[in-house]
Amino acid sequence: MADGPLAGFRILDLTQAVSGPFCTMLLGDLGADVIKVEAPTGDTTRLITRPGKNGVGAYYLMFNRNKRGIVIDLRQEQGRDLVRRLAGKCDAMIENNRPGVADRLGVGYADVRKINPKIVYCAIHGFAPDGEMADAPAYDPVIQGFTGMAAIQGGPGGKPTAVKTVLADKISGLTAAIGIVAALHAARSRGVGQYLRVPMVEAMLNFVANDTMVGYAFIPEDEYKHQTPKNGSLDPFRTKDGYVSIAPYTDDQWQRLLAGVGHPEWWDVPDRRERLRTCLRGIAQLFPERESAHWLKVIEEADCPGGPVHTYETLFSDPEIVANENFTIWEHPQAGAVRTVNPGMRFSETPAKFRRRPPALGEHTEEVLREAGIPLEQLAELRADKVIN
Amino acid sequence: MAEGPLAGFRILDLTQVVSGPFATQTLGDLGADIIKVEPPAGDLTRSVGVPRKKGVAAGFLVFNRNKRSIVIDLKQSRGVDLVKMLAARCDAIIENNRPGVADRLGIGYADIRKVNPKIVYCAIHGFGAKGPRADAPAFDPVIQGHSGMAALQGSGGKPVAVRMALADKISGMTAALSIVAALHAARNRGVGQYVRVPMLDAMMAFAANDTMIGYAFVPEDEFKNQVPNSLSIEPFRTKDGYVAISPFTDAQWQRLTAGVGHPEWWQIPGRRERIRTCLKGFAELFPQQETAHWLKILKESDCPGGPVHSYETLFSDPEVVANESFTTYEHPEAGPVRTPRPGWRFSETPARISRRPPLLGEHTEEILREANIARETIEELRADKVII
Repeated sequence: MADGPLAGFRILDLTQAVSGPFCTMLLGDLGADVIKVEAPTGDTTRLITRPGKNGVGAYYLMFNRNKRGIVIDLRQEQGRDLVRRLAGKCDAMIENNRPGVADRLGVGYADVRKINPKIVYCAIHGFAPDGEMADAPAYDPVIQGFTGMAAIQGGPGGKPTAVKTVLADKISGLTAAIGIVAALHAARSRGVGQYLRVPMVEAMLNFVANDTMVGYAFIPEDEYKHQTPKNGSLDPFRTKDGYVSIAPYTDDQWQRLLAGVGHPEWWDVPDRRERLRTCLRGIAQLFPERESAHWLKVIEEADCPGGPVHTYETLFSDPEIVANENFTIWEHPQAGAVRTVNPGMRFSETPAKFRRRPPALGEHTEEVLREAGIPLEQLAELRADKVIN
Repeated sequence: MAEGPLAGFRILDLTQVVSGPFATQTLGDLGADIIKVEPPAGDLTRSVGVPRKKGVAAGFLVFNRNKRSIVIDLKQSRGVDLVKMLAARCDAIIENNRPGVADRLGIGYADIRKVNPKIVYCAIHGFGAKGPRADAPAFDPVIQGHSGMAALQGSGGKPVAVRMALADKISGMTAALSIVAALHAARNRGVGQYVRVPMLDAMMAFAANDTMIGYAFVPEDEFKNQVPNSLSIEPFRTKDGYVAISPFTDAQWQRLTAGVGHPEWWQIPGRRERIRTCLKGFAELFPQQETAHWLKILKESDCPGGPVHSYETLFSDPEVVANESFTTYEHPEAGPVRTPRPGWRFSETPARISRRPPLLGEHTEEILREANIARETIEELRADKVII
């Protein structure tokens, strides 16, 4: 069975930028038929042209595989009709406009449910619906700042620092994907159509405020907040020629590692906390004396969690990555060879995989509308009126 | 309809620590019935780490709401039989042991599919099945390092970890998504299957998109130096703290520069130079006034931006309060405990906190009774320490 687990589901995608497109790319990876509706000017990320090759920007490509692309001008009433008509044939629909915009365009939940009461309608918004900022615009840095992520990364007393990837956008996309696929179960088994709002702030809080919030879990927190470990994750250790990671956790792993590096006595310090501090300090002093390859061998022989610290300069040729074929290279008609990362899920029966390259602007307009039963003559009219292209 | 979208699904959870428990907490938030199987000593996070209150570890509570707990000793063959019997009644099962351990215990996919061929069996492992490290142990820092995430977060060549269990949690969400998707194939097409979620793969699938644009075109030599230095704008210092700003469209930039009294910054020719001038200008201007002043201007300019919170200020933020983004529940031993609400707002099938994290073995008897195990048998099993 070569179809993905979501084969047979059709998703209408009115999103752009990152949060929504990442969500629908995941659904596409899982086998859903994703119809991406773009404005005549295209998704805003098509305008990010650096890095770009032969007029094709890399950014758009990274979030839009496994979708079909259709161009509809939503400023025209006929365009809105087309979207509603397509929504009538879809299991789910998703948008990430600013709150209120979809309603004004006549493609909000109230409009769509009239045509398709069983649809799962998902909206990714910046904030939750009940506060003063409910309709405020929000991009990734706003959410990283608001939710405490930037403060956590900056560390106690440090300057707030962003996580250097569009974390809040992508977490919101992943959260929306889980929400949609779950809601499709309620739709299938109980006939429930519904509106699902994924506020970026709450998606991020739900993701961030657990291990980082242990000092603020018990109320009142005064006694506990200073007990939070300083580092949420261990930084890599410098070696003579680079860095390695280590992550011993159980006592056995620590003891094997210390024996392996020739300092079993570091484990003799009586107090556990002081012992760990001694070990970490010792390793930080010891590792710069030898190359990474040496320590990787020691780590492996000690059967201790640890490994190489890659940049994209070294990652693609790592033996794990090569053996597991984690990256695919596909051919873009204009830009040539393009590298993409494979889905992080390995199904034995229903593979999640790269099925379609990202669409050219409006590449599937005709195909999708023909499937929706729109006759050829009408397509020509719509095209002449610039409702579609 | 007050039930979550996954009401009616039952998930057997053999995981510990973070990645698996976060996956099943997610499924529990969505209404699935999660049966968490713990060894007699409990999930590791019950006994390791601070802070603790009256013996209860916060590190356990934050990843284990919306589950029931049953204690089964898998070192006894009758314990293994119990797990198989429960698996026969579940839609999915998830484990995050080191590769090979579940098979050795007799609860690997080969064993479970015999009792339930339609089950979705998910395993979260450190690495993919085909490489030299397929069976290697892995915790969060290993995956952050291997996947390139630590290098991305660092600067000047020094890698820095993202200061939370990012790889664990991404793997957990990826596993949750894969299970919910696979349950459709199970329901619609009768397909049971094995899903491996390698943490390294999950982390790269999440990280290697916006961060990899310099390495998208092959060969990359010409392109890799065209990547912007910072993919997310850092917060700006004010007189008494920090604010976040994130103008994107030209209109937003214009309104913001006008709002701060420097419309001329947006007049400079060349968009790139113009943005550089604005950012430099903000960095010099913002420290002259308090955060509240700039937040007002951001709002009036209708420009994306907002406060930069730490946990000291977050819980009393008006948005967070108005939306009840955090809930407090009562733990029988530790008293009031704070937790974020689930990240989904369904109109019909609410995701919500319907159960506080379980005490160790709190539901052992209830679960076994549901599975029609006779009371006498339960007593025998307890006497033999197969269950607690």
